[in-house]
Amino acid sequence: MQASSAKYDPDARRTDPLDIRTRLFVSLLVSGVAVYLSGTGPLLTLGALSLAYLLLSARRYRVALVAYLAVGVMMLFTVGIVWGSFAVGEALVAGTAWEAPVARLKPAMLGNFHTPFLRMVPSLNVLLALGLTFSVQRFVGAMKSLRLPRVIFLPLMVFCRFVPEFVDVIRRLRDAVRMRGFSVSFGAALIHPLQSLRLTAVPLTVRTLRMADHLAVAAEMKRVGYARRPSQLRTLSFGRRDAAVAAATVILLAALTVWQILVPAVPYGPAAMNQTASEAPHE
Amino acid sequence: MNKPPVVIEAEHLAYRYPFCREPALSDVSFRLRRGEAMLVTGASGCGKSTLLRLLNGLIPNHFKGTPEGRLTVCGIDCPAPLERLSRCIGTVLQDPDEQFMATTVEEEVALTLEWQCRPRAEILERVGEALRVLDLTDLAARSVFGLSSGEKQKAVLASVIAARADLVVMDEPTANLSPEATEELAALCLRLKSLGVTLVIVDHRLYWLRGVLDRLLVLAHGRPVLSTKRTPGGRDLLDSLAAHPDVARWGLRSTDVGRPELPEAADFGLPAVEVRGLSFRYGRRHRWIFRDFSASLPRGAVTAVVGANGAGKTTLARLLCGLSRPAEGELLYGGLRLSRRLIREQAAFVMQQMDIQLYMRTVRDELLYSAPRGVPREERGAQADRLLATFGLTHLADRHPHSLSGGEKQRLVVACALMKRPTLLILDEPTSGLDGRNMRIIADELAAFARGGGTVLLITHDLELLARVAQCRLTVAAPLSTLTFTPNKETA
Repeated sequence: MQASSAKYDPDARRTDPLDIRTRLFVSLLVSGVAVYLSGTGPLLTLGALSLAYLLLSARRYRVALVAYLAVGVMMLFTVGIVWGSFAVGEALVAGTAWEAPVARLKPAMLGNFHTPFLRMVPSLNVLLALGLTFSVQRFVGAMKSLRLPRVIFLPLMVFCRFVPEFVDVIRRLRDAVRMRGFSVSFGAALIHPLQSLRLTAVPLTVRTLRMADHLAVAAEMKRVGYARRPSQLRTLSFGRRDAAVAAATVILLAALTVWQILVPAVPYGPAAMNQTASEAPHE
Repeated sequence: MNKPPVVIEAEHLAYRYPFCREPALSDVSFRLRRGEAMLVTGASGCGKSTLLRLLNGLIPNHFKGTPEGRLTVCGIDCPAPLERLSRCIGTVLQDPDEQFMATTVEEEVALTLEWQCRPRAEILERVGEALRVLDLTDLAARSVFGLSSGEKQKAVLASVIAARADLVVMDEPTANLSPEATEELAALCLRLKSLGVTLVIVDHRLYWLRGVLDRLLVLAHGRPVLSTKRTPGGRDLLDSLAAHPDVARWGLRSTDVGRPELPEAADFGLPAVEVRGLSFRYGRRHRWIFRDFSASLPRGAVTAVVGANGAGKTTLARLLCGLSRPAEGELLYGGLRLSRRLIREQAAFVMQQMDIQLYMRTVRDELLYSAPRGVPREERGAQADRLLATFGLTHLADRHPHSLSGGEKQRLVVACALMKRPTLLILDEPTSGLDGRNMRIIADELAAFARGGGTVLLITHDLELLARVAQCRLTVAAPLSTLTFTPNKETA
């Protein structure tokens, strides 16, 4: 392979059409508004729109599917737990038959317990879109451009550098331990807690301390932190597309908020239970 | 003709680490001019790295203690703030992982320039040039964590070149480089010298510096035992060193190392381990590292794995010892197909990172813990004591493994691997950063293990080790590799 003679330009390799600041803005705003919304209509609309945003941002359908499946399993598990504990409680305290509370819960609970999960879906979509298009370099660049104080920016930069290496160390440590005939897993930690602690704690602690020391040396030798506003290898371009996406997000979220105010939400949780209990026919 | 200006002037330099009785460095004096290259060498623990830390300002800015004597670097009287010194000094450490501050190659190369607040156009020009010079353009966007050791070392070198330092100090720069990349580093050093860059190189490996050096400093126990300068028209400093009567006593490596001509492993003898039709890649989105790869490792021999940086040598080791599962193909141990768990029991793998392979409270316990299950306690103890003596670790038997020096740790992890009594022993760069004496200890033990019927797979770029112990070779070349290293015309 011969060295390329083409002009070097890292921006030419940019794959995400949106600025990372736009993605951060959309993620924060959508997640915040999703917490406020409780109506099924506004939440379903927000979920659908954020799903479209996710699919347009990253064509990683399999990852999205797995995430949705995980949320679905979580939802079923939560409903099952709440339902089961309610039924058992009713049976024990009121001495009623098992069938009665279950029969009373069915219509109300299915209608109301979906709200927290509907809130989760928009956040999941926007965070997945952020995660699947995320680049540490763009993130650090964005942090630099925001003129954050050094006490915030430098730890963020060190964190971005530390995490991948730490993950790498864990992977290598797992290999080294497996070669000794042991395993690093939750099960192994339960069966042999002291041995697992020895096999992981000592090398990880030593390695982490060394990494911290090396990072400090590397930062000093590269003069990291000595400039108020360092230059940027990549350009951060907040363009028309970013402005359009940010504006569309604000308008849509405002519209959904108005919808929420005009159409009161269906109560859920304890309120729904009380309402359900008061409406249920007494036998 | 005017002489070039002096870049380093050291007079009676001395230094003692905090809480240490003995000085790490005593009475070191030398002068180095612009565009000159100096080699500092000596046995492990002789004070080479300490001298380097004094030069680049890490002592006393990062490592405390009180330096004595007089030191001027690039016109700056030391000690001086690191921020001031790092403007004109570039440092290349032995372990590139210690030096990365960014997560991709191009960001790492650009980082110093960004924090020097250089204009973006200048950063692009310098980064592009450095990447081209080191043939890293195709790896610019790659994560530094996914690079091979040699590629990482080149990324660090690229960042120093981009910063255009007046003085470059290198600590064991060839420890992870292939012979081809080492040759190119020598060419690069000559080019940097011609551009007026002053070089201080700390290294155990000497052969690659033929024709590069202007000054040579040999340290022993922190004191200079040989300080010599090349005279115009005089013989090479490495020849002077080789002719010195005390060279064997100093524990140095050879000054002349050739590439050993080794037969192919498949033609060497009865196979102990066979690989048939192996295909492997790290994921569906990744390139194939191996495609229909077949090989055999002979019993009772040391096989050297040969291949460029990034060709997949460590990946092959992971497959052979059951840490990775091949996508296709089969692996036969003594003609049998074993489960990966059984393979891991049969094989021992000495990895490059030593810290993650040491767990116990004492060196002796570490060895005892490495023995296979079922071996009687007395037998384990006797074997541990024999290995401690063989590897020169007996006096350290009660020390905590993590308190050992790098060379001592390297010997310990090799001893632990032998304690396991494996069928196949795989070693990944077991002698990088080792002096001649320690390298020879490890080489002799590997040879003895092979003579006893063991199979050794040696992944190393250390030509001296290969010449001493390797009996045959296994060539690894990634089928769709974009990472193979060829000499770059620009640096030749």
